[in-house]
Amino acid sequence: MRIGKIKIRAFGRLADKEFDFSAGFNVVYGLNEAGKTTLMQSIAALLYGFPDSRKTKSLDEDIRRKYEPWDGAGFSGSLQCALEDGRKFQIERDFNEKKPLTQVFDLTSSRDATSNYDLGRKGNIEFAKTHLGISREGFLSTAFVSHGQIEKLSNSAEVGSALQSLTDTSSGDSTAKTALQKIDKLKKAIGMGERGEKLPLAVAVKTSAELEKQIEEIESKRRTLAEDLSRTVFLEEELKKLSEEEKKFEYLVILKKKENFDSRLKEIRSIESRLTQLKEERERLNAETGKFNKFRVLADWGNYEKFKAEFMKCYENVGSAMDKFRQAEAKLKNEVCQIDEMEALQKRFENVSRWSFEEVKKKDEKLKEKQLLIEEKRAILRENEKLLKPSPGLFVSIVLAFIGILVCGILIFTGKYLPWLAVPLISLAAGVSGFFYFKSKQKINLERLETLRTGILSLGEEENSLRKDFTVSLASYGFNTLEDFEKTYMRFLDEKAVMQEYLILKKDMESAQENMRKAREMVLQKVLDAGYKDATPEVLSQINEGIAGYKDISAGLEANQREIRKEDELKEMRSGGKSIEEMEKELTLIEGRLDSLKASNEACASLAAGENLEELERKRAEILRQKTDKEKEHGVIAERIRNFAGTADEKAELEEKLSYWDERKRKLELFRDALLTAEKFISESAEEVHRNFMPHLRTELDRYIGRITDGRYIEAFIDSNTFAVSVKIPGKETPMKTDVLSFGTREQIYLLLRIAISRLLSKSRERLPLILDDPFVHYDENRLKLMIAFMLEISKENQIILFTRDKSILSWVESHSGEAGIINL
Amino acid sequence: MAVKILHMADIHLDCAFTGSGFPPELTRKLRSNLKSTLAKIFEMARQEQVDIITICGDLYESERISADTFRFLKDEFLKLSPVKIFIAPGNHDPFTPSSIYAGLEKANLSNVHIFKEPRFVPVEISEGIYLWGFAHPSPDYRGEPLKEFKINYPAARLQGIPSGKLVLQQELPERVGFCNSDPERSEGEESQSEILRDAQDDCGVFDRKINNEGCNILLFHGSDTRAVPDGKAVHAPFTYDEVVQAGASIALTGHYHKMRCDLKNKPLLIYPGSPEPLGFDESGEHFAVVVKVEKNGESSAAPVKTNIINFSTEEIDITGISSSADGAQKIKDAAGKYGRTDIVRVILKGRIDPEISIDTGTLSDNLKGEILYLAVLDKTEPAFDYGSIAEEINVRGVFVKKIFTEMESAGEKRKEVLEQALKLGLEAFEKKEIILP
Repeated sequence: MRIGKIKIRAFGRLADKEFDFSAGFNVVYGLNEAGKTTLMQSIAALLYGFPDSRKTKSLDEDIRRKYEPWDGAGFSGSLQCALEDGRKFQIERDFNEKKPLTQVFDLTSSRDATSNYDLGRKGNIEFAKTHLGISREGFLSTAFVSHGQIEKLSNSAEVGSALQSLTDTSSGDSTAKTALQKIDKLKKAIGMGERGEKLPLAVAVKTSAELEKQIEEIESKRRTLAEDLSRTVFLEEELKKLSEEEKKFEYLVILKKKENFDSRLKEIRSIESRLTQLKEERERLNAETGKFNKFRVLADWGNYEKFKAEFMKCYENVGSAMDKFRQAEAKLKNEVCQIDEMEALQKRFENVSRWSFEEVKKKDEKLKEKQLLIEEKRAILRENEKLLKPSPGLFVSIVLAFIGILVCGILIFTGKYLPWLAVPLISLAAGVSGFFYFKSKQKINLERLETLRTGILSLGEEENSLRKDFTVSLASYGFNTLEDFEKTYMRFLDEKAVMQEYLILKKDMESAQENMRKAREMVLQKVLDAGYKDATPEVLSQINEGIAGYKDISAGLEANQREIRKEDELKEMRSGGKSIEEMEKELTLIEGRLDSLKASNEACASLAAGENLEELERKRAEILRQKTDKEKEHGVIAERIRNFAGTADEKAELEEKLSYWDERKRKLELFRDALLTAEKFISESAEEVHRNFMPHLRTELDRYIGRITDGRYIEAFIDSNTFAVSVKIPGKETPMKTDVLSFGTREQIYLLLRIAISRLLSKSRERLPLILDDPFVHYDENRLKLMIAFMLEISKENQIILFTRDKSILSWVESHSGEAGIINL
Repeated sequence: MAVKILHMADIHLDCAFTGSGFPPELTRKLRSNLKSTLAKIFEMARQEQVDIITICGDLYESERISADTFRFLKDEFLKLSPVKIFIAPGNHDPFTPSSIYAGLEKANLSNVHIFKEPRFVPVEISEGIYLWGFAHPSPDYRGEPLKEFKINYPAARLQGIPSGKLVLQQELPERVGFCNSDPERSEGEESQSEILRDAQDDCGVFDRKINNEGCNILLFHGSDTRAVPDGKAVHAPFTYDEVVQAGASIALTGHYHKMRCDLKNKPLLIYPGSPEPLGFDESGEHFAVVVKVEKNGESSAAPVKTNIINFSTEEIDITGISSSADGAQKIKDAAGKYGRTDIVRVILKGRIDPEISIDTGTLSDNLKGEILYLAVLDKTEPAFDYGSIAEEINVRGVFVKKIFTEMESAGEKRKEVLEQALKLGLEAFEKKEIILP
């Protein structure tokens, strides 16, 4: 594209101006504030219009306002241009804000071509974009070379970077490389490929996981929440009831205590009253004691009663014994004259007991029995002696035997009647056996007789012994015969009872007298101590009364003392060691407490009537126990609820946090994925574009390298990654970076490549005009000339518009180029 | 005699404001505010001298209700006595054996009736006026409560009959019988005495003479399928026709958070909405509804504003701002008309210089005390003319073209990545520092 005529009706400081640019090299000369920048901006504005405020940077809005005339009138202009395909266009723009207008005229066909273009917002047609395929920003970055842009290119790296910027972004700002570096930095920052728990993605992942776990823990613990809540409600109701019951029983207990207390106090008062009476009684008794003091010794003696009883008993016994003795004496005298003889007889037989007598008598009987026996034996003997005579049987036996023998002999001798041998044999046998029988019998009888005789002898000995014994016994009692003994003994027995009675009574009397004496001895001293002269029953009676009186009083005093002690103990027990005043104070406190509980519990007061205090306290204790148990359970459950369930805020906040961190994680993961995607696509795009551009750039470079280096270098290379240009020195294999070249040459290479790139960036491969805004302001003359010469060269193919305030440039161009367009502002 | 009912639903005590991005101190305040509003509603009920209060579901969120909230509810319910409260559990607060409702039941509050079963169970709230309550049994209940449900008899046993149809035995006005369309069940399968006994268990109107007059009010938490709000899950779906066919005089419902109170069509179908908004999609006023019901079925309804907090959204186009301060000022101006009970979300739209970034944190801090909270949603796009850039022949242009090409065949998730990659890639080419999200 080559810019032709520009007409400015009003644009900034330019008004009603017309500028005609040549197709090749143009110089627009003007001093500062002449309008060079305004003209440059008008070119962009006429080619592109002012940008849609929604889409572009706000600075551009400012540019519009900057160049708008004060009165807004005539803010318009037109531009003619020629494309490489030969078409020519004229763009008319009215920059009125409210009613902008753009018209495009096809000068080739002389038609209004406006309708062929898309009307943007506010009717703006981006003419250059349509034909060049480059956005306004891209055009500004590509076609325009501003102050200092070339100056910055101090080394090949910077040149490469600048070219790369154009290729990558059609701007001088950044390249794909810097973009990828930025992305790489972001990747590291987010935590990709890096170890570190504090990196954002790792933190988000970890935090989300931790929060999920915490929520899960709360969830699992919340399952028992409802049951626990129900149970706490139930327990609270129960506790409420139990508290009421507790108060009720507290009231009843206190009521009962008050009743008991009242009762105790009453009792204590009663005890006090009794004590007073007892003490008065004691005083009285103490006063009476004096009268009986003399009896104190006797009373204290302790044994007095015993001995007095003994004395009286003895006294009575003596009397009684005396009477009886006298009666017995009289009787004896009446019945028995010789008491002495009787006494002697009694004495003689005092050791003779009935048994003794009987014993003697038994001996006599035994003797007689023995004698009788002996007689019997003798009688038997006499009888048995008769048996000694040979018995007839014996003779018969002898006869039979003889006959038997005889007959047998005969028979045998004769031999006749032998069968009748048996008969004599039988006779023989009978005789022999009979003989032996009767002989033996006789022997037996003899033996028996002998035995009898022996027995009789023995009996005789026994009899003698018995007789001897009997005789001795009799003699020991002084008797010769049993009859005498028996007679005397019987007499003794007859008289004995009477005698004995007498003797007994006598003895009794003597014994009673002795006892009397002793008894009297025992009490006499005491009686004398008591002020009496002798111990007589009358005295003793008096003493008795005195002692009784003393004892009564003593007993009374003791009883009184006991009573007093008892009452004191009772009082101590009932009062607990407190005085009545203290108890009354305590009662006041109890009544106060009772009043405080009365209001809500009075109705149940009747319940106390049927129960005793222990029972009420037991019930109260039971209620307290139940209450304690339930409070404990309630506490456990409440603690569990606190620990497990937490507050709603706790769980909700965790969920909110989790939501936040999940979203953050999602955003970071999305960001990460986006970074990776962007990185991939930028790399691919860079590779693709660079790959596409390289051949063209190389071609351009090859075309001009020899020319701009005066043939020193004929081959140049451009790195597809860095866009660094290197040149091959003839004869050397390794290319050298353009650092070996002069600054001016590097600039030329830069401008060459920039033009080539800008062309490549145009979708129609239009060559863009290169519009330079005084870039050589610091150049020296030689360098400047070289550059201008270079630009004149390349302007044959590419329109160049150089804006400058350097008059020397103007002069040089005027002198060296007849075809250059010169515009003087 | 008319009954005055305060109808409310969807208070969502102890809810979490997930996805809001609100700081913990704000969400705590919002949760606390829900309790305050509930207490305020109850106080209003006392002042209005209502006869009963109906709470139609989502009173609390069961997955996070706390012991503190449980006690709060118990205490508030107790304070309301003798005003009766009828609760029909919803999907967020279903009646389960381990639910807080089970706990409240055990508390034996004399003025609270909680419906327990996933079927309509009647309670007589005034002579001839019956409240039929339905309880969700689980959070994911999807049954259709009104399907084939019909009220013919105001107080009878429905047990065992999922969709019972009941017919009065006219010749025996004191007694009830039933027949139903279920062919498997034969008439007279149960004895009259069993039926009567169970009727007594259910509603205590055993010995009342039955007549054909009466007003039947449905109380249930469900989704009117005529108009389901965007993004709202459907629970217990029903249609208005089913309400009509059921024979109810009024349907008091819950689930949708925006009030719907159509007074023109009978029977009335009333969604009171949530008493407090719970998000930016619930802007505007929020209500409870006072309903007056006559025995003959005549009714009227009047909404009562209840919310303290307001959620508001402002969209502003900040295209062309010159600096972050400029943008901040625009946001401040947009939020400026709101006050201390307002939570304001400002959505930024437009295309801005990629080099400009607005510090919303500082802005939010600056507005503390003026508004309750400021949320800024940045939906601006950097001022990249993607179309133009894509036409460029440079690396950047090719990059954009490549991304666009892949976007054409990408799924939603990949598209999101590509969009982000596009923005990041172009920003990487800019001088501006890219800040991590």
